[in-house]
Amino acid sequence: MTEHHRSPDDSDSPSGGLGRRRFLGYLLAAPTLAVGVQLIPGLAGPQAADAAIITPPEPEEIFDLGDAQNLAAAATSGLITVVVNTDGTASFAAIRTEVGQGMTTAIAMMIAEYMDLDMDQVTVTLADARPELIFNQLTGGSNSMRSQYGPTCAAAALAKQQIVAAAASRWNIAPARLRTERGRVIHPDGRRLGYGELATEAASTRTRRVTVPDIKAAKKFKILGHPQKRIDALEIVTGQKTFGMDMQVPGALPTMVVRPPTVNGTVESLNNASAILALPGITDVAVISTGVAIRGKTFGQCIDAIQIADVTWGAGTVDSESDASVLAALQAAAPTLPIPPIGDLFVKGEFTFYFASNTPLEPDWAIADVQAGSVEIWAPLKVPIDAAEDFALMLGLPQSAVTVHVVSAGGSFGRHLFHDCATEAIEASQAMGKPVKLMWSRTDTFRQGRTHPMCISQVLATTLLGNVVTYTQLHTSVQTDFSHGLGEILTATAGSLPVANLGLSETIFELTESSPYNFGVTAQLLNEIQLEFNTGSMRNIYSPNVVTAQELIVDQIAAQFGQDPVAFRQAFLKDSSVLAALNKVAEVGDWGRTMPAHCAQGIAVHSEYQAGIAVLAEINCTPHVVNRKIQDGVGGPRVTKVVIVVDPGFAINPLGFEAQMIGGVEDGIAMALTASLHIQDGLILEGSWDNFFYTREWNTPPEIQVVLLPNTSNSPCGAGELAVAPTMAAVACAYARATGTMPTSFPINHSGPLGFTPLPTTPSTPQSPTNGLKFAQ
Amino acid sequence: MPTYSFILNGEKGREITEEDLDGIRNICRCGTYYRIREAIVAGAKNM
Repeated sequence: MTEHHRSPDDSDSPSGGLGRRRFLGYLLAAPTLAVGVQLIPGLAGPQAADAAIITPPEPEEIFDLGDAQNLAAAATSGLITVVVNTDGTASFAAIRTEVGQGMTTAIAMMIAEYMDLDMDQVTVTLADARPELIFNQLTGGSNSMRSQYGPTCAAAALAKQQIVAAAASRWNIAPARLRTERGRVIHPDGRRLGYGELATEAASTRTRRVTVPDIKAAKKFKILGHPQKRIDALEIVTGQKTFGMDMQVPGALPTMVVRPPTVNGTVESLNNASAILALPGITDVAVISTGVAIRGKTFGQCIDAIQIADVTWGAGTVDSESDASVLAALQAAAPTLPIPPIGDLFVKGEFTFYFASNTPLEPDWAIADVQAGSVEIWAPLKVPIDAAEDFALMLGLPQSAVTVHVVSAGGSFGRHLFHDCATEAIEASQAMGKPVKLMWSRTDTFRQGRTHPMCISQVLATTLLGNVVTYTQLHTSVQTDFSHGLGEILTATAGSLPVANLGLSETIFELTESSPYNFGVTAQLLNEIQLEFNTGSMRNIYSPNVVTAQELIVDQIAAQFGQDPVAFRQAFLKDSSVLAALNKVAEVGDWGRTMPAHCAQGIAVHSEYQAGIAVLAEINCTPHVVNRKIQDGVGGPRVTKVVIVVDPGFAINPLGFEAQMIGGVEDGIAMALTASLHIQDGLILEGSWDNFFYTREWNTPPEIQVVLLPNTSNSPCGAGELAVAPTMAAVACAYARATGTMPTSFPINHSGPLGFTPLPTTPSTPQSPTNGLKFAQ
Repeated sequence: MPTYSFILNGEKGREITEEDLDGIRNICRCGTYYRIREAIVAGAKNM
């Protein structure tokens, strides 16, 4: 049910958005043809990055987080390579991590397009940690496509050029007279040579610089811009794809950790090590910094051992905190909103957003093998270089003694920016003197894993004679942990960023948040409090909360002006891309249609990752729907329809883009209505997926429509996180209109009765259920 | 727990309902719920 308003004959090339970029090309000394492409340092900025431009426009509009990553990556992104094999296939080791987002499919599309290969002739693997890439091996900020597109296409074009040159040399003919098709070079007389037959003679015996073909030339794409199914779809659905739990490293036995009853609690003593060691299958027990690691022949035996572990626990880092105390701390730390002049009209609101878990569905895992003088690690890491540096430091080893293998992950959502689990695996392996395959349980991941930090957002808008003259948004949050290498990127490029003298979090806030409206004097500010929860980004950083507060207030201003929410936004939007998306979504979503009682439409817009997006949501808040009974779950208001319109710039893979939008919708619904963590005396009460109410099938909209506007540029926008914020906001606005009450606390069911019975804190991982068959009958 | 109840119940020849789809308990953290619904409906049509 997706419309693709895209002409198959669009003439595009990936260089348009890279106007000032040039590429350095290399032939690499290798047995078969291997080419490398490097961005020339200093010519990489997609926009002029003048210093100290704060407002207007806001920093995010001219230079966003992705640009900062691009700029930082430029100096060291030299070594991306395409290798042509003797079987005619091309190989590429991606320096971004596949976490289910379809990145490898998009990379394969670029190479297939520019080499004239079929999709199944391209192999994309994940590169191990490559310290020489310094800043260029971070998967995050919806940045992968934006930074990899230009150089990858250039490398593919260079590889094809060298293959053609080899054929021309063999046939003694000018290269320009040859053409290529599906992995073959074709002579004017009809003779053909497969790339594989030319791979060896096209190889270089020494590494040397060469000129990269001009990829700016208009080209009719056969693959790029056309919907492609994932290259790993068949492998996934047939169970062939290798994920962490499938990895077999000799001697790396299952290992789990007995964990403390409060967040970041500490071990004072393990009181029954010998009883644990006497259990069937258990080989080792060791105290590590986060708990007690138990190694056994099976994970089931590890769980059995956790049941009897007797540990005396010390304090955690937030033992005195509960939801109410964190809220009070946020409110106490929040700056005071300015007081509007007497007589001025104004709209204001304060919105609370509770903690949420960023756990992916695949359990956290890592394999570590610590040997004397070296360590080898397998883990799904999005910032492998930062991790490798930490591991070297931990073990007192030189960087060269640390080998980090990046493994495809079953989702990330921000979690794999951190290497907490790998650190534990190294600690356990070192203490036990054996390799370990360490896995977290579901209970571990919710209670001790990373969270989207609790925050409040205060908004004040003053109005005069039908205009908004000031818009102030003060965002106060528990600190977000950015200690995963993104910090290094921004530190390294600080001099080039258009934000001066700001701390790291404030810098990221300035680079990701901006108001798309003409609201006069506009200020959006971040303030953080230092509570030591385990935090991180969660499929977006600040935007879902900031945009939800903003859009609810925009609806309030529209109401004060007596205007329809869409008409008001049309009048005040300053971003043409967002306006185009809004107009289209109102048309496709039939904005303003008559809705039954307790049902309403809501609309929201957003601009981020160089994309404009608008979302229309319909919600049903009738009592019988809200109160429907769900076994081991929550019902609540039902979002019945979502329409998304997005200006993607250039959508590399419209099918993948659509999948990201649909996934973002489910996240936005969860954050608006159901998904949160409850903090009570330093403990997170949620301990399973049946406690943490991420959207489930009974809360998913039965109708979702994604419309991609025609290409407006040649450069791809970020997609992975884009739809979350405007969906959350549109659902909140729809809820406000359906109930007549603007919600101020999210998710809206958080403050109601707890929808589950919390698991005990001891044992820290419950025994595995054995009654599954009963439920299937 | 009505996991895939419309399949496990073995009732043949009836239409898939919205209630059937709402009753699926599988968790998809990538949020493919809507596409799962589309796939089941498409599969049922082709059976």
